[in-house]
Amino acid sequence: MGDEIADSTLVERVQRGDKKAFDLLVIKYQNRVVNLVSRYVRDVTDAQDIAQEAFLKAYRALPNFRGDSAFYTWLYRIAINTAKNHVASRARRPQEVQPIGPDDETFDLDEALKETDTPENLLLTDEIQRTILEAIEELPDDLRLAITLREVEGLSYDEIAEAMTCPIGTVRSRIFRAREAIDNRLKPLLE
Amino acid sequence: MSEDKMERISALMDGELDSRERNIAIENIELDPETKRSWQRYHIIGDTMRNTMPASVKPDLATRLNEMLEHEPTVLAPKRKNKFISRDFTKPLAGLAVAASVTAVAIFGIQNSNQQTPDLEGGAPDIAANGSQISPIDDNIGFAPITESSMVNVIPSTVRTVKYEPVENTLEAKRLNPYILNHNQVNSRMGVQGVSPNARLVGHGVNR
Repeated sequence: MGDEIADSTLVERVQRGDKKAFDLLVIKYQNRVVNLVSRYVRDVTDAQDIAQEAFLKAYRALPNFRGDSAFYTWLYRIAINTAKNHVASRARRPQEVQPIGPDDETFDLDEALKETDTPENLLLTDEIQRTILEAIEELPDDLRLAITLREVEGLSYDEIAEAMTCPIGTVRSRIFRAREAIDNRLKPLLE
Repeated sequence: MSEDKMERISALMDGELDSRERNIAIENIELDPETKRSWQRYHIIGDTMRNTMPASVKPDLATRLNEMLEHEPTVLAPKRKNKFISRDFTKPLAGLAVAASVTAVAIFGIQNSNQQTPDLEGGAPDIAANGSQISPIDDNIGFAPITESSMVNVIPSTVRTVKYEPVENTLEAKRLNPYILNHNQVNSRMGVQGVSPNARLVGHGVNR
């Protein structure tokens, strides 16, 4: 629900002509969309290209987005359709990679991606994930619990305050401090 | 950027700011590249915790897309209406429109069926203007001649066409012409639209 409120404001800004607001939506959802599209295509570069195309389609279609559904639900559908179209167009061509899916017995996403991705990217990805998980482990209990309830369980500040029996302002501060602590470890990797 | 502002960015991510604060926070991110990078890293943290990170991260996707968007025309959508208000007004209006359509169809249908009932059931025949009785339907009704040059080929194959055959029987002609005239007058008085006012009044007989 929290996501939807922020998204709604960003979408309204884009619809009023603020292109930079769309950039924030891309930054927010790029990993989720690439991850989603990767279920349909083996090649990481293809997944990135499809995600990019999906975002472009979404941008062009935004004037017609009325907010009947959540922005991510809408974007999700665009990404899935773009990926399916890509798979269908490839299937029409000879000697192309067949689409893969969770039902495929030979499906092994990690293995498939490792076949085509560059060692540098894989190393960076592993490093990012390891650093974040280590940083979370090192957080004080109250900060770790607050950010876990928010990011993993999706609870609102109100609900977290109730669960942790503390004021909402404290929840807001704990979540921010948790993010900052993790970010301080992550920042050198991405610069 | 101050800690207070960064805390606001964190709260923005979680949808915990009011409308005014949200817009201020968004403007802060848009204007400051370092804050935008924090926005990106904060989301990477969330994606990693939820296990929604792709197996390989290529952080340049947003950059590439941003460059492409510069060549795209600016999106401008009409201001969204308040969903709550618009639903309150449109639902009864939509219902009213449907009801009006159904009523119109019903009235038109009843009028048509009232006109056809005597014919179909063989009831009392119409009285012609001159007082003589006429039979409502005559199988030998003839039609005004239609030349091929005047025909437009728009009749679907399912429509049955009637070939013009001159009626030689003058007695039939005498009965039919008052009927056609009477029928047309009745239709006009009842205000039936769409057929009679636009139809050509045809007579019956060989020389008409």
